[in-house]
Amino acid sequence: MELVKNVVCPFCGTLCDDIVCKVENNEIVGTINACRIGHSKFVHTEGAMRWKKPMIRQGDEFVETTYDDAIEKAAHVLADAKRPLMYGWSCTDCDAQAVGVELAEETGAVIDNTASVCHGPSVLALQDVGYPICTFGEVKNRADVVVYWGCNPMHAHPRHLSRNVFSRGFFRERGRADRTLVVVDPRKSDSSKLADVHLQLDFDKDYELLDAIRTVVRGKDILYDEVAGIPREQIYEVAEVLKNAQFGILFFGMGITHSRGKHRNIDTAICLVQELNDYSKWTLIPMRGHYNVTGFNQVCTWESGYPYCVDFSTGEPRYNPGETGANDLLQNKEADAMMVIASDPGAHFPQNAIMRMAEIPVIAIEPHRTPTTEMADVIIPPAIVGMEAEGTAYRMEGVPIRMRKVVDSDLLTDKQILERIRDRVKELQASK
Amino acid sequence: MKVILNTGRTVWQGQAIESGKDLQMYVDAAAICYMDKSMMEDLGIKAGNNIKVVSEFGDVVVKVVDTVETLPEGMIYVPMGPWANRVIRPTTDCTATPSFKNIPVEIEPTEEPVLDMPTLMKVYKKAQMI
Repeated sequence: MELVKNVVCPFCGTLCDDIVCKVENNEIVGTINACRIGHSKFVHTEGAMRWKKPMIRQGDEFVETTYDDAIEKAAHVLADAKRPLMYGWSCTDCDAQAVGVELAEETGAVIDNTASVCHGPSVLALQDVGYPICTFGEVKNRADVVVYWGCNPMHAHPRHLSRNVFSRGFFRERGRADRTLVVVDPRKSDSSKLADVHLQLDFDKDYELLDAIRTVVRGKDILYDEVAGIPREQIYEVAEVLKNAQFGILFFGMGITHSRGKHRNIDTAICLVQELNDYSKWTLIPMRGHYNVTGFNQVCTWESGYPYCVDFSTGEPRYNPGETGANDLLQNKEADAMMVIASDPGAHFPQNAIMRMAEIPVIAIEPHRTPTTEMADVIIPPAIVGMEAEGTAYRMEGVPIRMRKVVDSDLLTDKQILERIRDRVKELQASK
Repeated sequence: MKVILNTGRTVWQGQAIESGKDLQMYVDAAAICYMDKSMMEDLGIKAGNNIKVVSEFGDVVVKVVDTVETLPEGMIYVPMGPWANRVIRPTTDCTATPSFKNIPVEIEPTEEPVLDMPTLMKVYKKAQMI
């Protein structure tokens, strides 16, 4: 058995880079250091279906085909569609994403990534009011007050706490003991059980609580006995903790991006962080989900000027989330073809969007059997980046990390598949 | 009974999606509803029974399990996935992002079975388009 060290985990935005993979006969049979979820990604689970060949839908069944045939069909679908949608991109590498943006431009498509069902509201907010961010290294070495707002890292980013809160840093020699941990969640979550302070606020009241803390931080009084279910005195106490930090960090997640207020919640959270800088050093990091969702926002911005929801139908990139988001296009029945790559909208889009996927051609570049492939007409299986192919991914706070190849695969990479579709689309466009 | 539906990640759901969404593990991790014991008593059900969750936008049958992360009064929690997404509020409010959390729903005990992933997706009646 061979041990491959320093492997980067291709699951969540924490991008843990200390995984050891146990390899036998060109197969990953075990891991060291990976969390429960990361381990499940690396190691094949018996019974789970992995597509080994491209597939074409025939009625309710799929039949095998060749890469050439599947790519030809995909190219025709995209070239013939009036309003194609290209969605996903968050579980693949930046080079594949760059080819994707080129393909979107070539076909006059709308290109969107999983941020639009995740931290899209955070992107809107940071464009409004700024992005006072730092790296994990700063958090580990300096942070003495850590706030997790609307996120549950013990479940969604299982090693996030151990790498950022429990870990010892240059100025935090005792690790967890040198830090104050604040968790804001309406549930008594497994993360809140570890906290020094748990603000168990009423659901959908994040904006109100953030606003109340900002009020106190600015030196004003709260006029109510409680705000968002939190007693007035506790809000004053927490504001003091935040103001007296030497280095504070706010991690935030779906609890505030998905609940009432959406991007306005994040607006006011960012403003709180900015105002806390009058007293101390404060920064924030969004708890990004997919391992390279951040990378797509970077790549798409370099290429088009906008991070997601980019519409190339006029020949120029246009950006209007709420109109050019994947869910907007599907639910409004605008999209007349869809290419899904490196994501699973079948599992994570609401019912109305999937109803549209059922009535338009769907191409899925996807290694496994998923709810999306159940809705697909063409399935093109790629090699998995970070296990069977190398590539670059961006950690949640924007640090690029090179993903390693651990085992060999006969399958084409996402980038190779996209390049072949792009080249064929160009030929079809030229012959029109 | 009228309750508030919360959705999101659990580590078991995360493990299941990476192990294989066609496995029973995914049904066991995502086609479930975390609920406090007091709410089960009010509904006259036990952990392991099925309930139907109905919202303005759709309905789904899920299995009730004991919650280990205590919920606020009147809240249930269904892990993110195609089951929860049958009932969440799809509207994006001009932000491109649907409303996955804090949805008013009605729940009732049911004898109807929980659908596995492929069967659930057949509800959408995918048509062959190529």
